[in-house]
Amino acid sequence: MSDIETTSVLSVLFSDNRAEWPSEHFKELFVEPTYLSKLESVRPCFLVGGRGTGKTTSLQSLKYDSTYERLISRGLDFGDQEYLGVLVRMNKNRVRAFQGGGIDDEHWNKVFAHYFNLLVCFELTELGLWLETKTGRELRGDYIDRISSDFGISSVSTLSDLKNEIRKLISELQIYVNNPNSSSNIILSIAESPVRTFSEVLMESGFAGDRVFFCCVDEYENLLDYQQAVLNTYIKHAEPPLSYKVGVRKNGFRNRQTLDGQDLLSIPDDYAEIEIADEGFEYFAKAVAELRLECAKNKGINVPTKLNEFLVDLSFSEEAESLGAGRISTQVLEELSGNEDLHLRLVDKSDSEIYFLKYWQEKTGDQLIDLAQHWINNERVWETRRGNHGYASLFWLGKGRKGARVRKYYCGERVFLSLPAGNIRYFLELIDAAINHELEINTGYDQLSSLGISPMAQTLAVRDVGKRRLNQLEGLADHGVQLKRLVLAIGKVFFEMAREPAQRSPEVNSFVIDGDKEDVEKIRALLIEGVGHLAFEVTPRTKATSNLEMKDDEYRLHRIFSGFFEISHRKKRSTKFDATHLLGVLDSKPSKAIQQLLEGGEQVGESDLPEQLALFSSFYSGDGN
Amino acid sequence: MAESSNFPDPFDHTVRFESIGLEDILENETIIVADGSTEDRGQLPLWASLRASASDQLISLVPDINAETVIVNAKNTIHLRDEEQLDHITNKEKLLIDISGLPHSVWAPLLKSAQKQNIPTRVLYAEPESYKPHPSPASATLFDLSLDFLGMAPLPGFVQLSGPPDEDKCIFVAMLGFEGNRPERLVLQIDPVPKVIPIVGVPGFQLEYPAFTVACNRVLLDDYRAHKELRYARASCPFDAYLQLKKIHRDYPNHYMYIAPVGTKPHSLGAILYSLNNPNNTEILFDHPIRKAGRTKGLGVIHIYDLGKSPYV
Amino acid sequence: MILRNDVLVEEVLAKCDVLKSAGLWPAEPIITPRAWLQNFDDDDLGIAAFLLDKFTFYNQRFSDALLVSSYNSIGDGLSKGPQAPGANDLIRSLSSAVLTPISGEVPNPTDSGFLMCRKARQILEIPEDKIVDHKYAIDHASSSGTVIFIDDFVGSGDQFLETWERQYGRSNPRSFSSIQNDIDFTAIYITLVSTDFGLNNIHRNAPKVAVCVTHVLDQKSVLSGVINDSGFTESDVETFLLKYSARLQPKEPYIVNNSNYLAYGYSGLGLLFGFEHSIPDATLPIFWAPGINDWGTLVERH
Repeated sequence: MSDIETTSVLSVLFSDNRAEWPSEHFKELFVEPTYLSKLESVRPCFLVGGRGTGKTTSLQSLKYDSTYERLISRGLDFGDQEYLGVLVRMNKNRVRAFQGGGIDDEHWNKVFAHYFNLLVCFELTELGLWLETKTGRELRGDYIDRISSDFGISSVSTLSDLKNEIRKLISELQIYVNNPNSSSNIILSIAESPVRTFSEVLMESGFAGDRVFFCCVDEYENLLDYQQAVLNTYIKHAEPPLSYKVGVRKNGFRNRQTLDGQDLLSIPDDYAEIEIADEGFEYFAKAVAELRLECAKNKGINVPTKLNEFLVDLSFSEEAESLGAGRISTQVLEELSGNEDLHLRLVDKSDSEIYFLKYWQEKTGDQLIDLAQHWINNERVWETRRGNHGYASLFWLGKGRKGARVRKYYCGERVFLSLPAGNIRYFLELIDAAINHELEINTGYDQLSSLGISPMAQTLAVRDVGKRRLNQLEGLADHGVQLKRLVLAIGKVFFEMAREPAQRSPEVNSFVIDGDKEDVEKIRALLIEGVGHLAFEVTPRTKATSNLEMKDDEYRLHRIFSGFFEISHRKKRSTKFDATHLLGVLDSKPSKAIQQLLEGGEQVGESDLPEQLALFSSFYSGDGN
Repeated sequence: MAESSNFPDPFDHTVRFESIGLEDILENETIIVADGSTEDRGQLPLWASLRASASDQLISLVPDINAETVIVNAKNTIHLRDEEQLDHITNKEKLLIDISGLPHSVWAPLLKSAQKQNIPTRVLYAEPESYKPHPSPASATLFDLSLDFLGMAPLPGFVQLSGPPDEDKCIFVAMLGFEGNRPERLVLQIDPVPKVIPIVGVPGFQLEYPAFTVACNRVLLDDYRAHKELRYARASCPFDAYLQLKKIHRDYPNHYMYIAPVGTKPHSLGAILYSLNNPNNTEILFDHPIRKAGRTKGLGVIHIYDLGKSPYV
Repeated sequence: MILRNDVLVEEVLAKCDVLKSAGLWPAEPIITPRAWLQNFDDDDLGIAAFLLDKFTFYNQRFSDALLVSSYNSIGDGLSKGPQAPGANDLIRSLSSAVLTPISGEVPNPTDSGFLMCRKARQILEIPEDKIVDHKYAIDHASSSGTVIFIDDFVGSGDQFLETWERQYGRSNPRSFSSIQNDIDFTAIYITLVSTDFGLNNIHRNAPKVAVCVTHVLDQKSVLSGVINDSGFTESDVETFLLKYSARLQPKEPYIVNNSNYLAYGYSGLGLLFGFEHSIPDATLPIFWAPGINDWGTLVERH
């Protein structure tokens, strides 16, 4: 393969853009998520994950035709298919039509249920037609009658007819929703009835064998609260052979009520919950990446097939040295050169240990010579100390490197599996960006050596992806601009804290909120929205059973921003932020609020800000405009 | 045509004014206008004087913040999704709708009602004299605190429930403005991601606006690789926008077209007209912004579009 | 508050890149932002980036769109001149119209007026035989025929007025201006962009001419008008322009011999834009003038 061909394959190997991969490759690249067997169980299930976690792909894989294809590719057949899934997506623009217009809520419940019935039955009709081809039989007219009469229509004798009739009913419904006050009447099917009838019909007629039906519903978070209650009722009442699989973004499951008054939809009675982020993401992501590497290797490209070889890592001492430990340790040794004995004992130690003395001196304010002496006499203690604070000290070390492209590295398999926080799309994006940076840096790349992505390329990729995600925040959420401001401010605060070791526990990068009750509520609502859009992560102090969560949930910036703000990606220690100060970030004088959040601590001068943060200096300097 | 002229006829569908007087209103033409908006444009002096003289030629509307209802002449409230109530308002001999100060959720259903009843309609749009200056260089709207949104919801009367017959044959036409995040927020709701085709106002209201618009939408263009798909339509011309939509449809026949009318208002007008004429394969996506005061200053050129003279319908 | 120089440069270059990808700016070597920035010392990059950000460039398609909109404004009802005919009269007058370019005393085929005539033929589909030279046009005017003048840009307005007032014929010299005084023919001037004072100049001296222009530039579109929002002071920018314009060597003697024009463009206007087919000499020469000591232009001026 020529160099140009190699480069072009590499540059799309991890690209998310499906258009760039021919579809047969796409099927080759499908990796079953680790939770698939949980998802395939009979119980109704909520699959919780944001955009890019593979949630939609998983639900799509439950669809009858996708499942069938997977079986075929493994040498199995229709007889081995245990479930038949259909998929409907709760399109935001369409479900939002079912409100207002001077119509009361109770009526909208009925109208929406009718719409949902139509959507699902349309898909079931397609399933029926597919089953007809697989079994070589036709569904009898009297069975179809049972379904059509649930919709108030008659003289429908085939599934194709039924499909057309359902389309017409959707058009009628559309006319009605556009003018709900009109005197013309519309027949509304009863909640759940047609769906249940359809699945019974498929079962009784023998078409489905003893398979179960999965009604998969994606983007549940787009539903209005009352619509969630409607759907919850369907889920609660679902009986074999019908079950529901619901895809929802984190914090998108807002309303657990059903239309049965007091009954709430609850775990484990009514459904199981699968949090994609908790489900062996690392294993899954590694499998996805290594499958693609394998694919490339089979095309003749010289890449390692193991992710940890592909993403070159740096050990602690290697990183310390790259960040300038040598310079600091030379200073230390010079400072201590007066004491010959001490000097002699130290001079054989590695730079990555010696510089740490200086770090500790700045942290504690003690005399360098005392610290050095203590080290010599208590090596164990210092080893532990370096274990606890070494990582944090790297941020301090990088601080001095004016004009350097990298002040902290983000590289290696472990980091790349951690930063996406369970989001497969982020993971692919990181690697894709890293490959492209490597190809830019490594202009002498030839095919002879196995391509490893350098720590520098990986770090630049992490920074880029963070920046991209930050800019996209505005376009993602209803309060995108506010979320972006919040992320920028909190990121800056943690950035500063990472560089000031004095008086602080190391690696503080999460926070709890307290202060004025009203302000806490306001900021919490925004943070929750941010969690749903992957701007923040949250660790609840207690697991929520209702929507009323305890006030002291611990929040952090989404890990994907770690490289952008040059902070630790590891979850370590937390601090307290006053809700009022956080809200202050959202109006026109953010710099004051940031100052307050830092409790008056020092901030790096504008000329010393890393480039990606300097871009926002007018925001940080506080005229806010 | 008296003599054959070899010079092409200039467009006659639009007339422009520095200011308008009663003589510019047609006989028996009823005017529908916003009553007291947060921007100067709702306050054309002619409307103020007609209102003061309690002329029944003028219908003043105060939109509700919920985008559901509107108060007519400070008396009765009507629902924007009640066709009968809307038809009652628009059933006049002729109509002139001033969309400058009206939100889309009000003028779009009114227009639908007028078109349905074949009422000869003209639409008025007053350009702002100047926008609040933007930070330089143009980048994302981090500092634009003037907007909040009700969120995505169909415009009253423009609900589309059927959706695309083939989800892989969809396009998303983004009418670009200075708020770069708006088209992106809307297109993200569509799965699978459709092809994005942006329309930029060229010529713009001012010399510098086209480049500024493209710069403001950098993230959208990059993310959806839409740079080469850019179409141009005169920023102040709904007919030009309509023409571009027709052309896009011709380039992508059998494609379901999502349209985001989040650019200039004349472009939005073109989009609504197009969607009224192509109801089955068009879906309008909109986010219902809530404007803060002081966004624009003063009155610029006034355009009146004669829908009956549209060259493209 | 202004951004740090390096960040400002990156942001402006990113903007130039997107304009290029989107086809608004032609690619290198026609417009060369990165090469242009190499002209400047590090400390001056902030102002350079600011100027680059303010530079507006109209490619062929944009210029064509301006032509279409200027032409179509003939019938739009806005006043085209203090004593110019109204919309209906203008439209009626087209039936006897001919088209002629604005040009110098010795017509040069590279004058933009000629280019505009060609474009009018291609884009507006004006027949070839209606495109005439001044001699024909003068006769045509004398018999009350309509004359449409065409050009791309009005700076001071002098160029139009020269054509308007120029005497033709030796025995019985007449000008368009004198003919209009005598018999009042319809004169239309189609142009793409004009300065406000240039437009006023034409209105003052040829009040019956119907000027159809798409963009009228005011303070907001010249250097002095945009400095206020930049974070730089007028004096900073002046220092910058004087420093670097010293290296410029445009071919136009009336510019190269005038240090104010060299810094700020003809008449000290400080314009910030150019067409793909030509750049007004009132646009900052720092963008378009060739120079010494390895000076790289941002864009070449034909």
